[in-house]
Amino acid sequence: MKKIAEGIFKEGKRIFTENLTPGKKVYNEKLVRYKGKEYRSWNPYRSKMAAAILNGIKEIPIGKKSRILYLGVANGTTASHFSDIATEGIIYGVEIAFKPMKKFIKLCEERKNMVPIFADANKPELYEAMVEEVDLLYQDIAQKNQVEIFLKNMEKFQPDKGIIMVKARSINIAMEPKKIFERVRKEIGRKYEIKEAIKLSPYARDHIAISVEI
Amino acid sequence: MTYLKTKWFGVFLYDEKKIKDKKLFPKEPDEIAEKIYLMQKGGVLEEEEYFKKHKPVVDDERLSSIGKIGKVKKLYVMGKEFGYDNDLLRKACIKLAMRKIREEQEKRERRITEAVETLDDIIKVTNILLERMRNWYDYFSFEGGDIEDVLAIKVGDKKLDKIEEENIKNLAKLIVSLQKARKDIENYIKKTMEEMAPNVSNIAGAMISARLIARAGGIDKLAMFPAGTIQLLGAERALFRHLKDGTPPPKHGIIFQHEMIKKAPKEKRGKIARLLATKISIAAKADAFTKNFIANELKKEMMEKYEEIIKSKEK
Repeated sequence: MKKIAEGIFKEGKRIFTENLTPGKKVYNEKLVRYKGKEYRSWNPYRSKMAAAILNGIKEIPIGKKSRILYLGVANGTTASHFSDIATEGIIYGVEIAFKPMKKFIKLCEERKNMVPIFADANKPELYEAMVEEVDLLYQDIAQKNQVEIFLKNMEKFQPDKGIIMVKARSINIAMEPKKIFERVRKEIGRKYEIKEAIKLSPYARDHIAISVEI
Repeated sequence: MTYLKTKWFGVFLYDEKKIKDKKLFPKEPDEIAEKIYLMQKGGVLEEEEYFKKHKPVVDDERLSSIGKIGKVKKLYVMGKEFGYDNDLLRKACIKLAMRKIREEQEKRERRITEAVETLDDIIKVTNILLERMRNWYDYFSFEGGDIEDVLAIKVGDKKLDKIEEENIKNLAKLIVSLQKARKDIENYIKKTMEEMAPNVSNIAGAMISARLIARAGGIDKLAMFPAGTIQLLGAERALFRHLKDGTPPPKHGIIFQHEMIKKAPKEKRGKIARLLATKISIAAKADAFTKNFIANELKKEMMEKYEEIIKSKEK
């Protein structure tokens, strides 16, 4: 098991995070013991951040003390790995659909560094009061106006860094993904400096991860 | 300039240099959850009301009665500086999320989706089982094959014959109970629609209304849709196929099930679908907002135009 970034480990072709709640699985991922510690396999087909890491994203802006605002947290699959890494930080998980939110709340009861926010990411003013200083905005929302949501929240919370998982097919089904990505890069690039743009294939089709800095 | 900002643990009055005054919330997850809940519903907290006399600058429409809307200087305070730790925030947010989920669960118009989809599943399953039952029955007779025939079947006297007979009869009974479940669920949907959307269900029929509302995510949402969207609800795949590959555009989605469209000659269906969608759109607005019953007039208008379209030689 080789450390490839703070809190992230690699063994063969798989990546892992150290389990914050040993013995417990979140999404039926594999648990592995190594030198007395337990690690959870991070599945790139289930988590776009894992896909971005395996596809060679250079900077992973998450560490032990990270404070993360996560938009579109769903069941908390990816967020649970963030929670493994940011043991002394906090992850605010925003989700609008109540069924995944129910599962996410269960997770927040077990993991002390996770906070559930059942709200619409289109309306950051509704959860502004709960979200204290954050250093990373992470978004994975398959909506037509996903870029607008991202920019609105970047503006509101002013984190140092942002990562958005762009799903081309949600933005425009009729347009070529390449063209959509170009347009999205332009739109985001007007406001923030784009550090990296990474394709997520073969793990997720027609997706890219864009990371920005203020 | 004096600014007002509310954080999850209290309300702050401050200026360019320092915090001038504050009102902290009780250190109780339940009470904090209650405060945030009120704020999210657009209410003003008593702690906010208290600072009204300072005429502070605020940046939230919710507080327009407390101060002047304008650009607010960012306030850098965190709960732990005042003894409010992350664990308290987490507990309060869990309480709040659970409360709001409960509200969501209580909405009948969200649950009607499940009833509609259950109905679709029952119809599908019933048809599959009916076909299976007839196939099985074919081995025992030259004619018939209805439920009653199967229930009266005589297979033979051997031990295995008796067991087979019981099993095929069980299948028939299962279908009977599915048919009853289907009637019951149709009645439930019909009654719900008459209460929830009397205008739309009068124009479009209960089943179509239920499907439209389920697809839109509530009568309020349906009321916000333009008629063109209502016309194509349920035909999304055909619409995207059209946008992507240039196949002919769909003319109708869920509303195709309406007798007026189903029975019309093919070349007039597009026009009728447009007419029906327009009337549904108006009816939905009445159901969601004014709550007036306008279906009779709407229906009259609709039928007049319908006759015109049917009679017209134009395609």
